Amino acid sequence: MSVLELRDVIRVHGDGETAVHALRGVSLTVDPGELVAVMGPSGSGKSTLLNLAGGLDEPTSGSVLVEGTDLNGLSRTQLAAVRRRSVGYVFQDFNLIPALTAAENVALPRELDGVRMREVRRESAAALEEVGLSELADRFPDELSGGQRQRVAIARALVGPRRLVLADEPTGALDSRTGEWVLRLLRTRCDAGAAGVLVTHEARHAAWADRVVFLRDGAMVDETGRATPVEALLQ
Amino acid sequence: MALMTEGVDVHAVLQAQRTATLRSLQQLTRLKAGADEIADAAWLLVLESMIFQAEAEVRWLDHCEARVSVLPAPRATPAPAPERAELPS
Repeated sequence: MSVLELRDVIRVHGDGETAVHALRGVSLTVDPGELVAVMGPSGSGKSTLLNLAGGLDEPTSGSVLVEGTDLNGLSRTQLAAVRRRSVGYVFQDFNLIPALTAAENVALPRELDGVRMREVRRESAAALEEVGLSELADRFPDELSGGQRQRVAIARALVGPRRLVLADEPTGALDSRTGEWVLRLLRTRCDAGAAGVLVTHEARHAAWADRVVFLRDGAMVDETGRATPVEALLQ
Repeated sequence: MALMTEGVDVHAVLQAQRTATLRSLQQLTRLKAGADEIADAAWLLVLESMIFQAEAEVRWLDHCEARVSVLPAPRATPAPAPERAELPS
């Protein structure tokens, strides 16, 4: 089963002559273990696609399914529960809570979900270990570098049972070497079974994905198809 | 060349090249991901040189697209006038 599926999604802002067609019939599926990059010029609909995929916005028509659940028609509470349990976000500016330590930031979505504290601590520690930050778990965000903060954000995005990570220009605030580190980490997390959607305007970063799709004026105009396995390249 | 050729959709040509270059960039990145930072240092430098070249090409294609998009739409070329029959003098 796909972790994310968009079926003929249309999103129109406003109506009449001032209507803006942000997405025009976009269909996309992302399977477990797959990282898909979305590229396109400003205003092409990249962020709208990501907001719809994460249930932060509703399509004008078409369906968005996260782990088989159609987000259309869910109540606000149900939608919030899907977002907490299934979807993690990674933003350009990290969006960590400054008053909480790295471990507490990672644990927050699980605490809000009512999971028992002992379990939450175990999951948070495991998520930080996966991104190589176990030793910095008790540090506050302003005691971490930009790259370390983004790794905390990725740990938070994939803590517990969450399997879908939506990353909006996650390397935008990082230097080139640290940005590559973050991409390697996203790649590793997807290789371990997560599904990822990465919005970026950097071709070098999009190239870490299994597939790159191109948006223009709200429509998907092309895609690279699945990347050739590395073994085939070395033959 | 696409810009100077009548009837060619320049945006489609640019997109086809962009997709092909991204595919090549994906392959280079996969090779890079599998290389060892120490043992394959020389191989990595060669790969990164190719990655930077491919990335530069994508940037150039983006630049071409931005430049082409502000050009006025090509005017329809008038059909050549039919050859007039020789009138008897």
